[in-house]
Amino acid sequence: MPAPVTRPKSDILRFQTHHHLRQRLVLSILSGKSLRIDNIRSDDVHVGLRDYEINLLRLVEKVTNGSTIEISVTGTSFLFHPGLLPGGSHSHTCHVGRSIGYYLELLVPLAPFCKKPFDINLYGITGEQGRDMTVDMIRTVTLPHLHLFGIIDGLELQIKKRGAAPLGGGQVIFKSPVVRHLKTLNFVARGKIRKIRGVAYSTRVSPQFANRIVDSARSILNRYIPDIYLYTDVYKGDDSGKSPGYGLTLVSQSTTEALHASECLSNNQPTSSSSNPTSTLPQTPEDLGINAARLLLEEIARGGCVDSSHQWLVLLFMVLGKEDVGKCLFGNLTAHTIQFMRDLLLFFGVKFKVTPATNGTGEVLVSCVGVGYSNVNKAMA
Amino acid sequence: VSFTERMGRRRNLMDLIYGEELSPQEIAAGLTRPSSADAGPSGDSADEGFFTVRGPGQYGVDIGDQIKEPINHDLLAKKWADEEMLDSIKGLFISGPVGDEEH
Repeated sequence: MPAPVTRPKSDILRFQTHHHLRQRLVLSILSGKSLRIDNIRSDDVHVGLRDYEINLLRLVEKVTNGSTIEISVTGTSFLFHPGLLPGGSHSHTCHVGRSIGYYLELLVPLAPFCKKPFDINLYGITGEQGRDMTVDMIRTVTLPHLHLFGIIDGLELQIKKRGAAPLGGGQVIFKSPVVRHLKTLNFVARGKIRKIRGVAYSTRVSPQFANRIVDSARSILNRYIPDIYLYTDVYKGDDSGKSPGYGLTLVSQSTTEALHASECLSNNQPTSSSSNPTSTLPQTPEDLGINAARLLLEEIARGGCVDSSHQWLVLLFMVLGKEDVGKCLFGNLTAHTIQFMRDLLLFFGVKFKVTPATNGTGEVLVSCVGVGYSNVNKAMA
Repeated sequence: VSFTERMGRRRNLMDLIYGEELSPQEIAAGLTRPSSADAGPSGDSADEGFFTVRGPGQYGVDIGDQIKEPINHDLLAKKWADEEMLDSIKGLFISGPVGDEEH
C-alpha cells in the first residue's frame, strides 16, 4: 500500500506487530506524526486486527477531527494520519473483547489537549482480570496522577452501571478539562504510607461476597497501619450489567501523596485472560482479597513516587511539560515503561536521564526537559 | 541476588534502555546481556521476584498491548506468605520503625 503522495515518506513512523498499539496511537496524535504498523498477527491463525482493535480505531476516528485510517485488505497493516482533537461530547460502545479500561487508557492522556472540554459516555465491561485497568483503578489512581500536572478541576469518572466480563453492560462517563500548559513535575520524596483505601465491588452475586473480600484483604493489611478503609460497592438490578463478577481495587497513599495500587477480579474467561497456565488465579472472594492485598504489598515494596502501571503516563506528561527539568522517583521500571521510553524518543526526540537513587533501594530517578508542548487547539480558541 | 550486584547491573540503565540489544522485558528483569546468550532462561532472575520473563511466543496471541504486568499468582503467594517478608516492608509505613528506610 503506497503512502499518499501529499506526505513525504520520511514523516511516517513505522512499527511492527500490534504490540503497544495504543501508546503509539496516543503519541502519533499528540506529536502529529503519521504512523504505519505492519505485520499485525501475520503468523496467527486469525490474521490481522482484532474486532476490539478495529473498535479502538473507530473511537480514535470519533474523538479526532481529520484523522485518516487506511487498513489493508488482510488487516495486517494500517496507515494512520492523525487529526486534531476537537473535544466536546461523545458516546461509544466498547467491544467486549477488552474492558472499558483499555479504551480509557488511550483517552485519558489525550483528553486534556482537546480544543473544548472533553466528555464521553462509554458502554462495555467496567472491569476484567488481567490486562487492563478497571474503571475503579482509573478513577482512584490514574486521575489523581493527572493532578500532579495541574489537571484538576472538572476531571472526573462516574461509574453509572457496572458490567463484569464477559458480557459487560456497564456504563461510565469520563470528563476532562482542557489545559494550556502542564506543570513541571518535581516529585522525589515518596514519604511513608499513611492510609489505605479500597473498594470491593460485585454484580449479580450475593452482596455478601464484597464483605468477604474486604475481610480477607484486611487480614493481611491490618498489621501495617490502622487507617484502612475498604468500602463495598454493590450494584443491583439494571445497574449491575449482564454478567456475575466481583473484585477489589486497593490504593495506598503516602505522606507526600504518592499513590500505589493493586487489584484483583474474578475471572470468567480462563482462556483469554490467564496468560500463564502454571499460575493459579484466585477465585473465591477470600483468595481474591488476599491476592489483591499481596499485590499491593508488592507494589509498595517496589517503591517510587508513582504507581508502576502509571509510570508511562507520568513520563508522557513530563515530556509534554514546559521547557524545564522535570524529576520523578520511580520504583523498578516495568517492561512496558522501558518500551514507552523508546517510543517517546522516536516521537518526541526526548531522552530521559535515568540514575539509580542514592538511597540504595533499587529505585531510579528519571528526569527530562519538557518539549514545551502547548495546546495549540486551546491557543486558537 | 545480593543488593550490590543489583546496583551494579543498574549502573548502565540508560545505555540499556536506549540501546537496541535487550528487550524491555529483559531490562525490567534486571539482565545486562541478552538472555539468549545464556544456555536457558536466566535462573537468578526467575528466583528474584514473582515476575517471570516470557518471550512473546508464550503469551496468548492477544497479549501485547497491556499496561498491567503479567502476574504469577503462585510465586506471589509464596513470597508474601513469609512473615519475615511481611515484616520487612514495615519501615515504608508511617507507623513502622523510625529511621529504618531500608527494606
